[in-house]
Amino acid sequence: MSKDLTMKKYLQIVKGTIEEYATYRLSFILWRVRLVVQLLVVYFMWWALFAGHNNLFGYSQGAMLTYILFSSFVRPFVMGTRTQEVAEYIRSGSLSNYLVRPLNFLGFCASRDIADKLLNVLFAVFEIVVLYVLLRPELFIQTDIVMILLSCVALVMGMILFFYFSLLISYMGFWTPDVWAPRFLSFVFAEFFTGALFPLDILSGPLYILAKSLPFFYFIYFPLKVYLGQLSYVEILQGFLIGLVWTVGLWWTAAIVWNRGLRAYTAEGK
Amino acid sequence: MKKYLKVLNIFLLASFNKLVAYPPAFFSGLSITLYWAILAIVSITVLTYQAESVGGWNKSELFLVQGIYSLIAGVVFGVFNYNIAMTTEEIWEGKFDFKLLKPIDAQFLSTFGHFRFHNFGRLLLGIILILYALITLQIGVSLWQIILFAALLMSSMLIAYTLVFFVVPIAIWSPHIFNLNDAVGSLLSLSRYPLIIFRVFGDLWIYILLPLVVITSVPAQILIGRPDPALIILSLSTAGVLFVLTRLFWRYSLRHYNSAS
Repeated sequence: MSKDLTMKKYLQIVKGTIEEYATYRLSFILWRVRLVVQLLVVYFMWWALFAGHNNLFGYSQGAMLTYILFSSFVRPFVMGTRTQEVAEYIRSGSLSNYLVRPLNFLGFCASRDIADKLLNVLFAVFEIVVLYVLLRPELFIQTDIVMILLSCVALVMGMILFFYFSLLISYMGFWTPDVWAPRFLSFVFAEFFTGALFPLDILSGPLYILAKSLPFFYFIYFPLKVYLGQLSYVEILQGFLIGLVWTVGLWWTAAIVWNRGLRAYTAEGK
Repeated sequence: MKKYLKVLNIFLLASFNKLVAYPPAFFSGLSITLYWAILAIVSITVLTYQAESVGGWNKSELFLVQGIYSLIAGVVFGVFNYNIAMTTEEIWEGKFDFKLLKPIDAQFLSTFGHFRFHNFGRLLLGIILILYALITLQIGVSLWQIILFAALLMSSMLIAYTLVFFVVPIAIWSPHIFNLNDAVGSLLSLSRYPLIIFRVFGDLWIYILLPLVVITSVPAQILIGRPDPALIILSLSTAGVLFVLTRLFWRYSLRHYNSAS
């Protein structure tokens, strides 16, 4: 009974978050239009790059365009988040409202994230289908069930990894009123190092090694490479192990920072 | 006119005083804008590492387009964008009345107010990129090219301004649309790419996206000695038409403004 009630609580949060988006529908649609435009620009940039080339950076045009199109699905799934609000809760003092409620704050954040991801992924799938019908690109569809399952696991790992990464940035709000700058900087890094704009293996040796050593590597690039079947089982296992180390490390760090932050939290407010 | 210049001078001084009072904010903003610019340069370098060109534009020409975009973005985000975003917030919060009550044109007040000096780093980087592109392309630029380039740059800045300002009258009609300013900023970033990649959409889309694509491509074509007279005329007339339309829509929207305060 109590487990049902607990689940109902968090499901209600998911529903409430979706209803928030539904209230300001036009803002949400504008957001999606903006993402589609950005996707199309990157897509056609690659289209123009491949003019006169069958193969670039070890990718065929079909493989590259598959990567670019599917990254628009992976990105909201992994990186769609509401955790940036946590910094504002801390700054405004409204975190106190959530701390006194009979729910786990992490569970609350995760529920909000799930709602955000659900909505964005739904729209992303619809947009990819429409773009496929309009553009008819040579898409690579994975038929190996094992690779599909492994890419799903990689997606979930990336999602959890990003959740804790984003939370950690928001937790800076316990010690500084301005979280915007570090969040924006992380966003700028992520633009390049997640593999959203291009597959990271087209980078030169030192840059690729740097990219591989960062957690951003496992947000978008790693799940997509697994899906495309371009990694050996050894490389996939290696990726999962390193990704798991990052996930556990960020989870543990987030837990420590949260506890320390709560001790420093004074609920000053505006 | 004197009054407007005096007020502009006051805004400039006030913004500079704010910069001096809070230097860390300036330096953090500057480092972020410079990082975005460096990211764009690295992306172009990576993309053209194996492919000699993108739609017929080689690496140096892409740097030229990026440099022009940086120049325009430096002015738009340094001078107009913040004030326009604040105006849409004021409309939502019902504070816009205070701007309307002042004895000065409300569009002027909505456009100028705070100068974000850290964005001028983009301006500087844009100039450096343009010079670098011209040197690597070994292009000598004549005085007429410079004059025409300057005129088209002004026209491009006017187009960019009208596109960004257009959100204010829309906000009067639909104040609950929160991210319109961000959406326009995002659309504006389309102009960092050469015209040619949009031809894949077909010519109809070129005309729909025209204001965005002529912002950088047309001035770039002047500098590299590939001017297209039709596009030049189109760019200049687009700037004029957009400005007039925006001004008319703004005045029409003001007549229907219902204060929420």
